[in-house]
Amino acid sequence: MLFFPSGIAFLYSYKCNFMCRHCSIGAGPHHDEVLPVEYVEKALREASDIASIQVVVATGGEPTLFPKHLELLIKTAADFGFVTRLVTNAWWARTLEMARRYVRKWRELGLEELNISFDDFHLEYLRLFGGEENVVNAARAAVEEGLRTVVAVTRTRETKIDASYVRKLLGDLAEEVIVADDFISPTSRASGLYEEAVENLPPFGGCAHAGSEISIHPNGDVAFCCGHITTDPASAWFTRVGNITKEHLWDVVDRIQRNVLIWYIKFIGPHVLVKKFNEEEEVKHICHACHLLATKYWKELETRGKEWIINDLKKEIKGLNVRVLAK
Amino acid sequence: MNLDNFLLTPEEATNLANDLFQQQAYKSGASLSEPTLVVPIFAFVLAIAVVAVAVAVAIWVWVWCEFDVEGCNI
Repeated sequence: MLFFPSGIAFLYSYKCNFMCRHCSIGAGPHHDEVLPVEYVEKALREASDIASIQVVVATGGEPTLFPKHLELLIKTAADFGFVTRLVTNAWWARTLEMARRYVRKWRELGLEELNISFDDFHLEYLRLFGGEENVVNAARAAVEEGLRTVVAVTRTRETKIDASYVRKLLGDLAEEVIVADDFISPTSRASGLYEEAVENLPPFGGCAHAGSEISIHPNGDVAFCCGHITTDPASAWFTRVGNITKEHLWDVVDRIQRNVLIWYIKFIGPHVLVKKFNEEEEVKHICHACHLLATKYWKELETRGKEWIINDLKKEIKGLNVRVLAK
Repeated sequence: MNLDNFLLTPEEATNLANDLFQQQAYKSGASLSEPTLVVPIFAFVLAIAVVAVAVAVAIWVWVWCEFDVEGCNI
């Protein structure tokens, strides 16, 4: 096979105590559906049979709102030997003492990486639970506990907070924290920010996440990527390839590995397909390209069919230069 | 709606993967168990070199004897 999954993300609920305008997941307080814990356990047990899976991520929604799920996920994943990562908005870190209490507990369960989401959009809601000091407290507690610590910033052309702002905010911690900049995908709730979204597409090749990072959703659906279109009602179906409540994870992974459209998305890119169907189409983000394929260009894609995708994939791969890609 | 229309059988997937891998392996200069153009080209160049040397020796011998250079016993 050409690729294997290396990570699995659990979005066991889309419930969040924030309702950020840029959220491409569409998370918020109104979501009530939660994946039962036994399926979290089942998915982890089955993932442990797939040797290529190394990383388990708790994300959402705000995963810390479901402590029973989170604790079981971290503990079970750590027991199976996975690297464990928690993605959070840091609402729980109003004071350094509070932050230390939470982080110490997660660390004892086996957490290895804390990934804090922080930007202009998160800050609007973080103020209700403290403010930007929460990010510093959470990062400090994580560094003290020896966790790999990341602050992920999502931007548009009009936002103020970027990586250098965060480094300044972190002060003496900046040396020990990875600060990552990214741009929004104008899908789901973030489609309202279409005009200020920056065009951000990979210079070579397709989507690194497709088929390599799979995600599990509140209703048990498994998606072939970590995806930003997972809750957009118009395009969510496009990434769903199975359901953990009905089948073994390996059966889903097997179908992902045999789907030639996913190969195309991974190696060539969904944006290349969109441009083939309409050169004038504006594509802002690689997830936005999948959204367009699922909505505007699905009929076209379905009509051209599997053989056309196979032939075009061969043609496009021939044009790729692996040495350039390797650099 | 789903992506099942784009599913390959295990055999199709293996064949296509091999096909795509070989395309890239040729381009990246990786060695393959399959025959490549390197061997025939090398054999062709070697053959040209052998013929050229043989012709040069024949001309030299002919000149040697034709003009009765001392020592020609042919």
